[in-house]
Amino acid sequence: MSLHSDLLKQAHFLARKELKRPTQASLRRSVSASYYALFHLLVDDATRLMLAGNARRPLRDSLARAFHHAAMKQTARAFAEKSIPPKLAAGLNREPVQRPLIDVAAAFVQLQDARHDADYNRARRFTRRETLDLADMAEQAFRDWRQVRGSLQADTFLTGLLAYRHMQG
Amino acid sequence: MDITASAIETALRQLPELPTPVSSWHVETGPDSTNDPAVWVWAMLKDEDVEFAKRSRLRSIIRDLVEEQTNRSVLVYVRFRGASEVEHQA
Repeated sequence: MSLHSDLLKQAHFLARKELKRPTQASLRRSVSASYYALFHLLVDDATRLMLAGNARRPLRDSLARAFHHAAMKQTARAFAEKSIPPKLAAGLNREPVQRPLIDVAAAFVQLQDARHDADYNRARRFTRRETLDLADMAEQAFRDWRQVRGSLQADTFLTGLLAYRHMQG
Repeated sequence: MDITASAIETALRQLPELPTPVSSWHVETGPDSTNDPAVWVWAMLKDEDVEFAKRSRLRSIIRDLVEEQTNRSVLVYVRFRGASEVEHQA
């Protein structure tokens, strides 16, 4: 099974790990896993877009290190708000952004913020319901992504996740 | 950001006909992890087991309201908790 699928499974498992009183450690790791499930799903597809085939797997793994959370958020926010910057607009053929892609982008922004809290903000307390909602959000983003994957818009989104800050235009 | 957390909370409390009932709200404002101005909204759901589609609709309603209140100048983060979970934490 892929890393992203395992992480999604882990997010659900950790959110329910303790039957009665969930520990903050389990809930925080669950939130983090939800974000990284979506992160790795998108990074996996973005690197395959450039470097297909088994022989290029080591290269894909190297390229995966080039993704930056803040830059990815910038592109995801633009898609979530349907305000595509000119340098990415060429990939949309003047078509409106597809709903499932908007939802993937919005989920990415929400999950990244939650993951930041989960990993760094000790003042924040997570609850099981809150944590499960975030795992469900990641799971829905997987389904939404399957609907748009391979489309020109999806490829534009993946290009933006990797290279938006370095693109001219 | 000109609008306060309490003003947003007041507006949220006045939302009619939500997809699932909310027992209380908690709102915070400030910069997020990448320094973008942001609003966080926690909605305490009366029903502990609300289907995702309803939560998704509620999330959109909340986001639309906050964006309207802030002239779309902030990122809106929405999280859901169960009302009983919050009582246990108190």
